[in-house]
Parts: sequence; structure tokens; C-alpha cells
Amino acid sequence: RPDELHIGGIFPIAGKGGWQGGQACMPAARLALDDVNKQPNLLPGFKLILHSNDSECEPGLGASVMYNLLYNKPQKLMLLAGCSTVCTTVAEAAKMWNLIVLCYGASSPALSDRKRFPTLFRTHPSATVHNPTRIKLMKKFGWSRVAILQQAEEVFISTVEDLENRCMEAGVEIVTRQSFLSDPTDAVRNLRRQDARIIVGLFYVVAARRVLCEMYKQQLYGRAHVWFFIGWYEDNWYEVNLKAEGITCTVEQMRIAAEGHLTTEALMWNQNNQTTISGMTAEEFRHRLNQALIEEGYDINHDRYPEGYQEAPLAYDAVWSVALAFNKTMERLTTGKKSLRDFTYTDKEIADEIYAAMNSTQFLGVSGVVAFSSQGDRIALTQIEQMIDGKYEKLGYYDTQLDNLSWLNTEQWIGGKVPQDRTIVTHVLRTVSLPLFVCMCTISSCGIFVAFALIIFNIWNKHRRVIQSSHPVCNTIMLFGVIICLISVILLGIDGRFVSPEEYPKICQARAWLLSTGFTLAYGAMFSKVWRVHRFTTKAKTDPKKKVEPWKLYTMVSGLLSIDLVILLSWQIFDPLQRYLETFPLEDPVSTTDDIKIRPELEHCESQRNSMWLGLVYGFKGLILVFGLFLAYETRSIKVKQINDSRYVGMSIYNVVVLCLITAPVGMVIASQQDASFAFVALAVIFCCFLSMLLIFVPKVIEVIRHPKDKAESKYNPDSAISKEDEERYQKLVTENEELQRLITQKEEKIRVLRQRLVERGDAKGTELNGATGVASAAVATTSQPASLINSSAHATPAATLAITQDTHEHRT
Amino acid sequence: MFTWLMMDVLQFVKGEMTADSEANATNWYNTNESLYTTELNHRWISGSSTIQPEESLYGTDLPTYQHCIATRNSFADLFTVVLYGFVCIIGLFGNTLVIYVVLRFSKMQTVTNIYILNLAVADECFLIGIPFLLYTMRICSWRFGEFMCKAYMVSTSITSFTSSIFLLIMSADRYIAVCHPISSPRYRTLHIAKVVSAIAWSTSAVLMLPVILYASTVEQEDGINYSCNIMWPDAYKKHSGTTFILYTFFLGFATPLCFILSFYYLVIRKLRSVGPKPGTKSKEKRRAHRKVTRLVLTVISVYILCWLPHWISQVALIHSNPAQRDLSRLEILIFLLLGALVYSNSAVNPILYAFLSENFRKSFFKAFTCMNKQDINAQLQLEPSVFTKQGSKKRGGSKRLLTSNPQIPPLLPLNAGNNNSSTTTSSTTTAEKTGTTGTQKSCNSNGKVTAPPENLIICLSEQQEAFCTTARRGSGAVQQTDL
Repeated sequence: RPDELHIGGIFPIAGKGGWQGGQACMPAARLALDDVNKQPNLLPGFKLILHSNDSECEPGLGASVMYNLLYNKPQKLMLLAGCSTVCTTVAEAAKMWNLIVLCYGASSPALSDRKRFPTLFRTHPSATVHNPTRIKLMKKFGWSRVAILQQAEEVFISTVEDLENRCMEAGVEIVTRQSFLSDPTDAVRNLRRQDARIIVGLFYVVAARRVLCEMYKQQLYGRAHVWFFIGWYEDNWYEVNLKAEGITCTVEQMRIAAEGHLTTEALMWNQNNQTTISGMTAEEFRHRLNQALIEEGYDINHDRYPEGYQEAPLAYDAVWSVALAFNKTMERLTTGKKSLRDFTYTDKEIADEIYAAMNSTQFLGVSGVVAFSSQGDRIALTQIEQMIDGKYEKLGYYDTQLDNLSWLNTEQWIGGKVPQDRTIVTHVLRTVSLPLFVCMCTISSCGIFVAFALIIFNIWNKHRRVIQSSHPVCNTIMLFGVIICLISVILLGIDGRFVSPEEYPKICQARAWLLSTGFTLAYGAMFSKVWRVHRFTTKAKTDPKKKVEPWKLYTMVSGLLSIDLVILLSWQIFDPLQRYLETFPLEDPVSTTDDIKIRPELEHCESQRNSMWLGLVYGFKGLILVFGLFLAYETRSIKVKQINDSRYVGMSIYNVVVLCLITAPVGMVIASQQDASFAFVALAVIFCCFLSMLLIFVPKVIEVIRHPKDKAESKYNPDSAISKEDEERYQKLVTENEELQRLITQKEEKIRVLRQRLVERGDAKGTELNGATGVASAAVATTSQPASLINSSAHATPAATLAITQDTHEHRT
Repeated sequence: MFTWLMMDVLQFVKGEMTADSEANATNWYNTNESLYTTELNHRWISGSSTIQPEESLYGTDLPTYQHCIATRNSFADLFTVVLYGFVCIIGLFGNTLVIYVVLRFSKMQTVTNIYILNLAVADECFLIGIPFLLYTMRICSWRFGEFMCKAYMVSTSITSFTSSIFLLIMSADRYIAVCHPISSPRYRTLHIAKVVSAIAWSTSAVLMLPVILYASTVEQEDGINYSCNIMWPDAYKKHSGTTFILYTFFLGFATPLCFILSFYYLVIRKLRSVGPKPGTKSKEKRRAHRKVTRLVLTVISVYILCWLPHWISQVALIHSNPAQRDLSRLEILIFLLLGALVYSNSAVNPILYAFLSENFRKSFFKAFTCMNKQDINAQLQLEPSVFTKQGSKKRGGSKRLLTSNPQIPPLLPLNAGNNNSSTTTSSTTTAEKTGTTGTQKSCNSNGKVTAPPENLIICLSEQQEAFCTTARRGSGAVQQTDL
């Protein structure tokens, strides 16, 4: 009977959240055990026996399984372990029992720490073996901005740290690093906020399904996104266990989200038809493994592979490594007259011999060349795949040691081109729409033309009384102001379409100057007229013969203009207007084939203390607007012969005030809508200008057309003579009005006295006297009106009649 | 105007939740870092204890949409829904009745009633927005699309502005009628009334241009639901919002209020100075003046009470520091109550301006009386009669009225009692006004109120003392009725 060599095996078979690769690795290990024991030249006189249990990929349970293996007879010479967390626990503790730990399914980079795990070897490549491959792919496709999404497990934390270091060396920016424990919702949402396009995902397959579902919900898939997943998931990992794990997405949705993602995978199957150390090729091993799995109950024929199928060759070769190491150890121990049978947990000499033997083991296994670095890591190739139409397609291989990328040029990208690693932002300047601008320019040009025509009309007919009496120079000043305002409307529409950014501040200055001075000229002229009418009225009693002095009208307009110039010059010198770009949220392009975003921009004219300067300008113009409104109201019923159009000027002032009070606040609020803002302000200015010209000049034009012979009259009747006669008549009428008012006052007093007497008597009699009072009032009222009529009939002058009628009307009011 | 503020308030709450969420995420990650730096045994214990905080952590990290769903069944929310629903029903009923009466009876189409009609239309459009607001509050998202969001915002803002303008116009109308009785016929014509109404609506539309441009749906944090809000451009967010609120406050509330106070003050002063102070007859005048004074004060008080708290809260809101603005549950409730006051003004306007008027009450009774009479005639059809054709026509009319006013049938017995009294009152009033003895008692009366200009013309042409006295008294009565 041969002697027995016992080894312990810890396999993750059941469990929920971690790797469950023991389902396929344990049958593979059993196969290897049978093959090893059949070799006549390997371990002669000994039989290798495996004692195993399930760790469920839980470190606590793994530790418990290890203790049971160690303290239950017989003694174990070596431990096999899978799942990084369990290997971490077992390898960290195994040195206390002088045991070698061989991990067949652990990819954590942390296990490379020799100081922490002095007796660890693994046939599974480290997870960091993916990182050089990932960097190589990023360089190939020109991606320099990536994000990382990881599950909060030590294996992934270490891999991410290694990846970050390699990215830093390679000049790749890591835009964000997100991690989660079990629910990736918030982490994926943060990726979306950061506009992550190229994302390296590091998580177990159960979490990977949740991430995929969340990708679908957050729309982080398709032509604009590339995900790097780990390659050791099963080929149909995204379709299985959806209901059992509570995934809320359907199979179709998962498939859509998974399309196009890349995987990097350490090769765990020998890639050619070489005969391995066990005497069979990788395909023959696959065939035998499938047979064993079928006997275990897995339905291999219908593609129902157990988890860990990809890592099964690693477990097979791990057992062979153990056998080869023991064989070599036995040879060395023979010279020392010792044997493996003598091993105990306190025997460090034999343990060192086993370590040296394992460290120098090298052979061709079904997983490829098996060799261990000084850190105990497996040296391996990396395979790159992409999911195309629901199936993984090989793209190439990468040899880390040789830095050799074998590329097959079989990749396919949704949209036909390589996705970008960031959103390309195109800056588009928003401008006023051209038809609107042309329309406003046309109307403004017509207005300018009309204003010039009216200026010519004003000059041509300056000798006419209707023109001469309305102070034509003031009207001409108003028309020049209108022209300047209409020019500023054209400037309002000139934006980045027509001028360069360097020229734009000049347009800003021109706008401010033209609109402000134009307003002051146009409105100031009307204001000065109404002001003179008001002053003339208040001074009429003390100095009735005082004439309207033209120089005072000019002084008023000049004063207003001077204040304007002071404000504008100060603004220009101390805080000039600059071009300011307002940016809007990103928009999608009209053409959906472009993977870009559009950043709209809108030009504005602003200075640093814009509110102060605008406050100054608006305050000054607001004051003269309000004061003009007051004067127009006060003089609404006054007629002055020297300024005969003051009533129309008042109406113009009403309209200008109302339009300005509405336009200023609304224009400030809608400044961000370039078309609406331009149309609103332009129409307001145009409406003000046209209405003012209409009200002031249409009556004059009509008068000139109706009475073309006024020119002849002026030759025979000088203005001075006519005005003197009219003044004399006016004075007479005023005197008569005063006398009539005195008579009316006296009669009203008599009526009041009579009413008091009647009321005193009426208290004693009652209702009848009230009726009598009404009758008396009516009689008196009737009497007063015929008196006025009698007085008016005494005078044959029509003007006197009109004056008396007006006076009576006012009295009645 | 209030509705976009309400949406804005909800958005602030969501913003707070988002900030908390990010802070929690960061802390959790830091904790996780320290977890894996501990020793082996401690890691096991820490690992097992970490699972528990994880669950509670994600429990507190609810999206804002779900937070709104979770808190929507509180007592305050239900109370708000009931309050708004009550205001909506009362307001829609009153305004609809006013609109029906003014359009249905030709003699009701006077200058004052044209303004009341426009006010009722504005209030009706304003109150129609309440169901949308309640539904949005209930399901915590806007489900009616982009176009309906803009239409809702535009209609509620324009009509609330128009409501204030028409209150101003009616106070001006009363001022002209009372203080300038001789010249008022020149200004108080139907044509001018319609032109003034059109100008009022146009001015409101122009001043609410920012709402038309910037109202839109905003995606909430969960990426699925939307809210309806006014989205100011980012660069000008505070500036535009502040300017808009300020000029809406001044042009929509402060200026109309000043004018309303001025006009009504002048009206009251004018009424006090009219007529002799002592005497028996002046006692009746004094009572009428006191009634008018009380009505005017009520109108002004209701307007100030309903709108001033809302505007105070808005102006105060734009001056508060946005960074420190964490609106508590109580503050949200206060905003809702102030909004209810604003809507209440639209609901109360029909009562203040229409139901307190004698003409409107008579018209309401007449509407019910017409239906009642035709119903009686329909019952007569059960007997054979030589008036079969006339009966069938009236029965058709009765059915039409039943269709248009389904709530009226239960009130029939009461109207039967009121029919005689209202008819008698109408006859007496008409006789007093016109001096004629003949009065038609049919439902479709063509009688019209005599206008003051006709009285003046008669005075000047006839010069009969007795008739002038009667006409003047009638004119005064008409003015009183208009008030």
C-alpha cells in the first residue's frame, strides 16, 4: 500500500455575492489528482489525496474551513484556495503552520505582497495583468480621459491603485473614480454627471449585472460610451440570474446595454495544440472536463456552464504544480535522509524545501506555460474581446513582457467610428435672425427717409404761419433725434454675424451714444416746447405781452444734451462697455449622427459696474420723462398762439413715456432671447419715432395741403400786425370773461341765501318744500344760461362767442 | 404669478436633497478606505458591522421625487388640497354666473358691466389653473408636456395681471361717473369700454413677455419626471428674476393700488359734499352714502388683504441669501396659504362687484324665473289646448335651459315663491324710473334703463320744472345702482 500525501482544498461553490468558481474548479482538480496518481514516474510510492470544503467566497467561512482542514487528521502538506478574499485570509495565516498556499482562482494584486503572504503561489494571473493591456488599448484608440467604477472589494481597490499609477505614467487622465458596495445606482449616476465616456469597470459578476442594468437606465451605453469589463465572466453572464438577483431590466435591455463593451482576459487555456505535461492537449482536457461536469449534473450540451469554467485549467495545473513540487522536494530530501512523511506543522526545514521546489517549478500545462515570478504571480498573455451582436469576438492578444500587441482588426463600433473619450463642445454664436434684422432695417430706413423728407418740408415751408408758429427749429432738432434713434435700431441688430469680436465693443459704444443722444434730442425738443408753454402760462398774468424767446428753447435742449454727454463720457472713460459672452446649457446638434454637443453663446454689451451706469442713465431719463408727463398734463387744455402744436406734443410725450416705462424693464428681463429682445426694443423705438412724427407733422402737412394760398396772404398782412390785433381781441375777451364770472358769483350767493331761508321754513312744513327748492334751483339755472346767450349775442365776433361758450362750459364742469 | 414661485420652492427643496446626497456619498467612501486599512480580525468585525450602516445609508438617500411622494399624504397637504379645491369651485361658479348674466341679458351690457365681464373672464382663466396645480402637487411632477406648461404659466400670469388692471379701471370708471357726472357720458360708452379692455389685455401680454419666453419643463433629478417652472438664463438668473419680480410688483400691484386708493378717496369725498346736511330726506341719502362708503372700503380691504402678503413674501424672497435658503416645511405651507389668498381674490371678486349690485341680483332671479315659467308652460301641455304650437316652442326652450343649467331644477319651488315678489319689485322700480305705468311682465322684457344724456336733453328742450325734477332724481338712482 503506497503512503498517502494529504493536501487541503478550499473551493467557493455556493454563496451569493462573490466568485463561485469552485463549481468547475473542483472537478478539474479531481481530474488532475487522478492523472497525477496514474503517473508511474511521479511521486513513486506515494498517493496524493485532496480534502476539500466550500468557502462560499467568504473570508470568515474560508478561515473556518482552513481550521477544520488543519486540525482534523491527517496533516496537510499544502493548501489550495480560490477567491481573492479567501486566499488573502488563508495565505496570511498559513505561514504560522509552515504551509504553502497555492491559489488557483485569485486575481487580487494585493496577493503579490511577499512580506504579507510569504508562502503564497498562484496559477491565476494577477488582476493587474489587465492594466497594461487596458493602457495599450487606450493608447491605440486615442483615449486620454477615462473613469473608473469599482466594487468596494480589496481585489478591486488594489487593481484600481495599480491602474491609476499606470495611467499617470501614460498620461491618461482619470476624470472620476466611483465605488459602491452593492448598489451601483449613485455611482453610475455620478459617472453620468461627470460625462464619463470611457469607463473601466471592476466588480464581480453579480454586481456587474446590476451595473449593466443601471447603465441602461442612465443611458451610459451605445455609440458614445465604451466599457471595460473583466473577461472572466461567463459568456452569457448578462442574461442569467436576472430575476433571482432582483434585476429590474429585461434580457433585451441588458443585451442592448452590453453591446460593444470590451473585455480584457488573462488567457487560462493553452492556445495551440501542443501536448502538455499530462499528455493531452487543451481540447482533450476540455472534453474530459465536460464529461466530468456532465456527471456532476451540469447541462453542458445546452451551454449551461458552471461558474469557474474558464479557470478550470488553472485548478488542474495547480494540482500538477503541487505534484511536481512534491516530487522535486522528495528528491532533495532523499539526500538528507528525510521524507515528506516526516512533515509536521512545526517543521520549517521541509517547508522551505517545498517552497524552493515550487518556486522553481516550470512546465507546460493545459493553461499554458506555468511559471511563477519572485512574487508568486503567474506570467500570462492577455486576450482582448468585444461583444458584437451578443457574442464575444476576439480582437487581439497582448504580451506584457514583450509589449507586443497582436491585433486582428475585427472591432466594430456603433456609429461606425471610434467613440470619443469626452464631449466635444462646439461654440455656436446666437445671432438675430436675418429676416428679422432685414425687416427692422427696412422699417428704420423708411423712418429715416420720412424724417429727412419732413426736415425738407419744414425748411421749405418755414415762411408759412402754421410752420412758423410751431417753432420749426425745435421740430428739426426732434427730427434729427428721430434719425439718430432709428440708426441705433440698426446698430442693435449688428452682432457677431457682421463684426468680429474685436470690433464689437465699438458697436456697443456706438449703440449707447446714438440711442441716448437721439432720445435726448427728440424728446428734449418736445419737452422744451411744453416747458415753454407752461412757463408762458404761469407768467401770462404778470407780463402778458412777453414773447416766446427762441434761445431759451435751445438752452433747454442744450442743457439736456450736456448732461447726457457728461454721463456718456464718464462711462466711456472710466468703465467702457465690453463684449460679454453669455453661455447657455449644452444642446444636442440637429444632426444626430454627430457625437458632439453645442454650446450656444450670446453677445452682450456690459461694463464692470453696469448697474451703476444704467442706473444713472435710466435715472436721468426717467426724471425728464416723469417731469415731461407732468408738464404735458398741466398744459393739456392750454393754447398758445406762438406754439400752436403744444397739444400734439403733449400727446407724443404721453406715448413716449408709456412705451419707455414698459420697454425698459421688459427689455432687461428678456435680454437672453436675442430675437425677441431685438424685435421688442426695435419695435418700441420705431413706434415711438413714427408716432411722434405722425402727431406733430401730419396736422401741419394737412394744413399746408389744404391752404396752398397762405403764402399770398402773408404778403398783404404782416405777422406782427395780425398778432397785435389778435392780442387786443384776446385781452378784451379775457376782461369780459372776468366780468361775467363776477356776475355769476353774485347770483350764486343770492341763490345760496334763498336756499337757506327756504330750508329754515321747510323744516316746519316737510316734503313739499323740498320739491319747491328743486324747482327754484332749476329755474335759477335756466335763467343763468339765457343771460350768457344774451351777452354773447351782443357781440358779433365769432371768436368772442367761442370764448364765452368755452367759459360757460368750464363753469358748468 | 404664484405658481412659478411654488415650482421654484419645490426645486429648492430638491436641490438641498441633492447636496446632502453627494456629501453622504463622499463620507461613505472615506469610511470604506479606512475599513480596509485595519488588521485582519478587526476587518472581519468591521465588515460585518459595515453592512448595517450601508442599509441605513441608502435608506436616507432617496431621490427628491420619492421624497415628495413620501411626504404628500401629510395633513398639511390634504388641507391645502381641500382649501384650493374650495376656492376653485366657489370662484368658477361665481365668475361663470356673472359671465352668463352679462352676455344673456342685453340690458345688462353697460359700461360698468363690460368691465365686470372682463374681470370675470380674467378671474375664470386664473382659477382654471388650480386643477393643474393640485394635480402636479399630488403626483409631484408635471405630466402635461412642454406646450401645456407654457400655456399654463402664460395664462395664469397674464390673467392675474389683467385682474389687477381691471380693478383699477373700474375704480377709475366709478370716479368719472361720480365726480364728473356731466362729462362722463362722453367717456363712458360701450365702444370706449371695449377699447380700454383691449388695451388692458394687450398691456398685460406685453408685460408678461418674459413668462412667455422662459416658461418650460425642467427635468428632475431622477431623470424621468418633470416640473414646470420659469427657467431664467443661467448668466442672468438672479438679475432677471429680481427685475421681473420687482417690475411686476410695481406695475401689477403698487401702481394699481395707489390709483384705486386715490379714485375711491375722491369718490367718497365727493359723495359727502353732495346734498344738504340736515333734513329728513337727507337721512336716506346719508344711509346710501354710508352704504357706498362701506362697499368701497370692503373692495379696497379685500384687494390689499389678498395680494399684499403674497407680494411681501416675493419681494422678501429675492432679498434673502440664496445660499442659506433651506425652505422648511412650515415655509412651504406659508407660501401655499399666501397663494390661496391670491386665488381667493379671484373667487371673491364676483361677490364684491356683481352680487352686491341690485341689477345683478334681479338678473339672476330673472334667469331662474324664465326657466320656471317655461317649465310651468311645459306642464300645461298635458291638457288639450288650442295653443299647441306655442306650448311646444316653450317646452323646447325649457329643455335647452335645463341642459345648460343642470343645477337649477332643485331650486324650482323656491323660485315659484320669489317669482311674484321679484316681479312686483321690478314693476315698481321701472315705474319710478320711467314714469310710465305700462310694464311688460314677460320673461324677455325689453325695458332699458334710461341714460343720463336723455334726461339732460329733455331738460333743455322741454324746460318743464316737474319733469326735470323727476329726471334728476332718476339719474341719481341710476348712478347709485351702478355703484
